[in-house]
Amino acid sequence: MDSLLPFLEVLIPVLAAPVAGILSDKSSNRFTALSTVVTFIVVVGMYPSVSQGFVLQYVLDTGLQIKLVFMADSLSLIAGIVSIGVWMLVSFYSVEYMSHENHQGRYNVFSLLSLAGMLGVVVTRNLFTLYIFFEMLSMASYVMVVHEQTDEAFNAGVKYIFMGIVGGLILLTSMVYTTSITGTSDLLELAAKRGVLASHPHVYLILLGYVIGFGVKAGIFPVHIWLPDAHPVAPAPASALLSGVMIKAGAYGIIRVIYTIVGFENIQHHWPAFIIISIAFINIFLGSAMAIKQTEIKRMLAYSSISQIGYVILGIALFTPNGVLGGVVHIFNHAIIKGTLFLCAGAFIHQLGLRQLTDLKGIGRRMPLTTICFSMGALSMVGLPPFNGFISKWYLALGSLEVSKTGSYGMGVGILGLVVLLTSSFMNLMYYGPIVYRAWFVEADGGINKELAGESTADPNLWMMAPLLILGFGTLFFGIFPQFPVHLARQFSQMCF
Amino acid sequence: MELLIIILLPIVGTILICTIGKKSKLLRNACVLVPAVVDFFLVAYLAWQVTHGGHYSLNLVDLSFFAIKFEATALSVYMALSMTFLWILTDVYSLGYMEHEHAQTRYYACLTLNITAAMGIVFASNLITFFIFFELLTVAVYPLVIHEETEEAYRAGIMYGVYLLTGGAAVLLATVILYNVTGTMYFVPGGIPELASQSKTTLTVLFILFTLGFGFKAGLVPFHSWLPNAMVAPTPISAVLHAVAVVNVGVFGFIRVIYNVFGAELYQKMGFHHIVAILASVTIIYAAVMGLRQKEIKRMLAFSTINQLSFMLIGISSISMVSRMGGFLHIYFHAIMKITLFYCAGAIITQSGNKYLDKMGGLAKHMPITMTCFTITAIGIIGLPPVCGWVSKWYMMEGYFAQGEPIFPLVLILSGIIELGFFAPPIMAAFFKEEVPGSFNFKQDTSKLGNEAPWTMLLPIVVVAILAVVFGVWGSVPHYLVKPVLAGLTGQVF
Repeated sequence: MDSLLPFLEVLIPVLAAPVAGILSDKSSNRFTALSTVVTFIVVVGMYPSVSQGFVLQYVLDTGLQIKLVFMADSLSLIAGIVSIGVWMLVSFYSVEYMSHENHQGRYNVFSLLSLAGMLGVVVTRNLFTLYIFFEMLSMASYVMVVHEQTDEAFNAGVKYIFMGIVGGLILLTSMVYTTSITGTSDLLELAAKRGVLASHPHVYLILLGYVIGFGVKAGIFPVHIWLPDAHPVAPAPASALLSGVMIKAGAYGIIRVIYTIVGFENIQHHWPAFIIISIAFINIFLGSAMAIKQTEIKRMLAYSSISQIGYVILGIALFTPNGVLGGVVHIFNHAIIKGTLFLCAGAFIHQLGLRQLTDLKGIGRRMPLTTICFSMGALSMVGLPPFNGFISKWYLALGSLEVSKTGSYGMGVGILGLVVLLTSSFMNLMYYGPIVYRAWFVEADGGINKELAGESTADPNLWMMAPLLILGFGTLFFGIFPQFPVHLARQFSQMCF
Repeated sequence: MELLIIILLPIVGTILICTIGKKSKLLRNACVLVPAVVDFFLVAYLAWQVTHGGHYSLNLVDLSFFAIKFEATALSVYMALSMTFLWILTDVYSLGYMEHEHAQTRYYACLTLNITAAMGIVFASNLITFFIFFELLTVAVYPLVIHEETEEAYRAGIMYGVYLLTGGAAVLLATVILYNVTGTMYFVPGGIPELASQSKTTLTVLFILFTLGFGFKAGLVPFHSWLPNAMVAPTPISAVLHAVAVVNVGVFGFIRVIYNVFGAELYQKMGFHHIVAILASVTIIYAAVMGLRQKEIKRMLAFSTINQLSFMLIGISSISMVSRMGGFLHIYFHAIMKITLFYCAGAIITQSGNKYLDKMGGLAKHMPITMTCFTITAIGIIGLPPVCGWVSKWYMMEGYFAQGEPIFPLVLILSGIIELGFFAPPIMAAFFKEEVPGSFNFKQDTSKLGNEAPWTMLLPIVVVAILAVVFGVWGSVPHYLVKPVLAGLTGQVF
């Protein structure tokens, strides 16, 4: 079905970006928030048709050899809606949070460009267009990473941009190779021709290129090393976007590669499948293990993201309908949860200057609303019902059970998957549990910034609090009413199998 | 008639500049700009006509062995259009850049004379005409290289002369041999038919001589050393001649040899395309690595140019149409991107007095527009979207993958990674790092844009930077023109 909406969703932030750069700091922040609202409306406007199984598309013939094609199917929409939703809330949060920072205009311009890149990645139908937006995302988000302009930020930024661009160029190689083998770069045509690609002798090399290219952005082992440095050094709203939303561009790419371009049936019973699922397990354990060791809130959350992206990859690599469903739903859920947690971390920094985990003792009394949101996010991350993290893990567990019925290798993978899901929940509990416990039940011991110490509550003002509450209660809402993401994800997984 | 005007008008302009240059600045500026502008519009008119089936030729001298003839083919107008357009911008830029320089008359006279040389080369319909203007270009650029009249400039000038005249001699020798064995030296679509029956030795000798001759101008390693040294020339010269006209003429020479002398089929049958592609790959990697080691902006850009020229060679000597198209498009795209980088470098050097890459910290605060344009085009040179360099790179890679030679795409990618290494640090420093005291020497630092170059320099910078982005996402003129070029050269409709 032809529709202008998939194109508009990218165009609006691109056009808004220069305007945000010209305006004064205060109006620039508000203008940015406003333009994300408009984009949000556009994206939501696609839901009615897409949920009925239509694929919206818009072809932009610019005279290049390959046309720019925008497409919204159920996977695009679920990733798009959660990206723009979180982005919109974070933009409102930033209006207050960023008002004390330098270079607010620059931050807004590159936030909008990153948004365009992110939405562009999930809304394109050919590799050519996908690559444009993928690189746009890498480059624009670099400016958000180094926003503070400290030495630490520069060091993290250099790692980020070099790994991002080198990964991008590797990705480009795979994309071009795919195009020249199959003669098309259109995702739908590629899906029809995946046998052609799969019978090419270099198909695993191509797959490797894709996995490295998208994996750098997604933060999968072993190309995750930029992530724990880059995510925490950015300002808190940017961390929320980097960790909650932008790593999903990589996960989205990996889903497309496995289910559309190469075809899961062509790798299911071969060694690449084993490699990918091992990566998922390593990510889950490595991220959690490193998170337990951290003393800084944001750094811990960044490692937690590495662990959580492992769940998404696990879901993808189970190659069963419920596994894919769980992976896709976790893209949605993790964005909300990690958004909540980073925004809470930002509120702690903004209000009381707290950056260390030990500072959070007794914070529940000083900032009750923020701590409630943080607790919900933390519990959801552990995977407890009725929060939304439970929903994803439930489907991942179902997927593991499904795969265990498919022969001896499947049996091993399935059982291992279940064991990993359980143990990693315990590991999550090991680092999220104490924080929540100390926040509510331990007396403050003076770790809180002395000048700000006092009895009055220190929750942030409405600009920051409202997005926080919406996201925080979002974890609860989508835990009790998971129909929306599950419906779209099921639609996608039915398309794949 | 149109061709005659295109070729003679710059000569008239040169003579007028020489006679009235010292008397009236205004009249001289008019004499500089008018030939470039008129030539551009005539070339644009020819481009329109030729792509719609028009035929234009001009015979100046016609003796049996010595003929000066011109013909407007799709390829000629394709090359001429980018050159004349960028020449106008460079003239405008020069007005600002040369404001306080010495020997302006000589500068503008030579700059304008070079239009004739470049137009003569691209419109030449036989090798002897080609050779005459090829040498004219070499000679007329020399006064511009030594413009500063310093020791360094003279040394660079001597190197320039020796290298390029050697190349010219090789081309002349090749032309004579070609005339001896085939009795013709006209460019023929699909190649000179008599060559097909020649012995392998003759063909190989011809190929070596042509490669040597054009390799000097196209900066193939090991014939490239003149180019970084020639960067002592004023920046507009580095921009239009050493990033566009002179070096592109080297690539153009390769195109003529491959498609109009040997013919693509014979060329492949002899396996020459592999040799050129391998030479170009070596050049790409070598130049990229050398670029990493440079300390001065302009020398770094020179190595980047050497690197990018070999991209074009890889593209044009491919046997797949997509790769060829990528190579031809890269001639346009590289010209636009590299000229922006040189314009920016010139603005930075004249305004801030700093020519070193490691002292760029904090520069973006003083010159935000210049640095933004510099960044945009650097992104394009690395080969990242949405700036035009990536489009041609995509095409070249696609073709090579399709013909089963994945090594060359990997070279292109590797080169992009290395180039990231030399473009990223100065740009990051300029935007995000603090200024090191004493690195800049601005004349004034008051208003926000007070440290930007004057508008005559800023305007060309902004125009080409915008074009670089436009061509990256919108096919437009280059894509429209490149198809008739390929059809004319190979006879295949693409």
